[in-house]
Amino acid sequence: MDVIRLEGVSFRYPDGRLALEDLSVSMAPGERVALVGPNGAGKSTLLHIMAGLFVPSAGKAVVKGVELNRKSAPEVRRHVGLMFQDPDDQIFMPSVWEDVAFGPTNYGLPEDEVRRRVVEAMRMTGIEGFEERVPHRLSLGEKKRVAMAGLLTMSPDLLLLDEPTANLDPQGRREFVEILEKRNEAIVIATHDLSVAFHLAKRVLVLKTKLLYDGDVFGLIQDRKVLREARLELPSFSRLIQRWAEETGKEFRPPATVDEALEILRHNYCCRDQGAKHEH
Amino acid sequence: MLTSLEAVVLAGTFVLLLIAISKVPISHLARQFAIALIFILFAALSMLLYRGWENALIIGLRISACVLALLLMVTTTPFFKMIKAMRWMHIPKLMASLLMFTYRFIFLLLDEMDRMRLARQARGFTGGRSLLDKRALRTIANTIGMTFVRANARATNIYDALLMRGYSGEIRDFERLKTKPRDVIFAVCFGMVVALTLSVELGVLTWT
Repeated sequence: MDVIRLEGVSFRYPDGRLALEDLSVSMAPGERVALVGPNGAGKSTLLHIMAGLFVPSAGKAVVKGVELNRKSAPEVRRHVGLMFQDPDDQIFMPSVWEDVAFGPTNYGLPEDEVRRRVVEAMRMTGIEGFEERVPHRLSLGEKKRVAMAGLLTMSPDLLLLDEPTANLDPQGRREFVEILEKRNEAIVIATHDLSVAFHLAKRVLVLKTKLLYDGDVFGLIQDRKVLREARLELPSFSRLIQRWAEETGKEFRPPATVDEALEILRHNYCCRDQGAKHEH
Repeated sequence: MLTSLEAVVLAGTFVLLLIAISKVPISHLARQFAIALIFILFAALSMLLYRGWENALIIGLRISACVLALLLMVTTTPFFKMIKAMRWMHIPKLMASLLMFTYRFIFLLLDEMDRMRLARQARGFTGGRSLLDKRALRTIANTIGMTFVRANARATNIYDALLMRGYSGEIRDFERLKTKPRDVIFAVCFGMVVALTLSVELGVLTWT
């Protein structure tokens, strides 16, 4: 069974603005999808629908076999974890421990089970030792980890992340990506950062009110029309290799990650002891 | 309500004893108390004019003891524990939730206002030529209005985040408040002081 299925979903805000139009998408359990698009494309709206916070104006959204409507929304939300762009919107309790325990406590789980989940979630997000710390005094990166831990304690089938690496320093971004790499749940990452998107997901949805593209990363990298329409810019290493391929006339699959770019350079650039022959 | 001077002095002495045991810095309490002092003096003065010095003293001491007790409680008890205690005393859960949200997010609201103040200053706003400067008043009014608009938008996000973590109208406790031996000792002492004070108030016990 798909973890989520959207059929012809449209959403219009009360002020009349059309945020999403005729979207049809499905995700298998454990699948990772990057959701990209320009500002105002409807990414956050789509995440809110997937999370059961908004009900579609038209079409159908089904999460773990439950069709989303006002009555079923609380049940849908039990299967989904949504990480907001600003962790201050999410972190609520006076200590990190209490905040991470907030979700399972609300669901009435026994104290032992809550404790077990909190310890495990804090270990997975690297915030062991933060138990008594005051959440609103943490750094942005630490707050994001606390927010993440708070979601993981609820054991969702689907994790929705709204710009999870926004405003993080490079090291913080890398550490957060490492946390996500180890997860087994289905994940949707809404992000402007294509290097993070390509690193974590093999499938990309490009959104601009409508779905412009639903396919693999390599197809997107080569589809200049979609990239232009969605105002997307490839990671610098992808652009570098593409330009180099154009200038040298070589043909190879454009890289989606730094490792792939490095492999291309190793494969195509001559060895060091032959380097003298190729000096300009 | 205590009306005899001896009872009020007894109650006040108990509060001062608690302050001494609590080791809260006196300067901190004094600064907070100073704010209430103006109102206490006003009340005492009014009583002095109409009912004499003894009643003025009683009301002044009584209000002072209440204010000091409240300040001591607020200074020594984490806010969320106070909310838990309120719920234990069956304060309506809506009220407890509202208090908790207000306390948690008032700091964010103050941050928003501060950011807007800096934004105004960065674009040359200096507060106007006088209190009646229309442009300045309009700017400040807009800032206050925008604070509420942004707070409302923020509140929507916060509520959504709470819903996503199973919130259904009440913050449940992970750990229930547990009674410790020193709580029992305090309760007994407090009970004894109350009994003694009431005895003095009702004339069952007298100083002489």
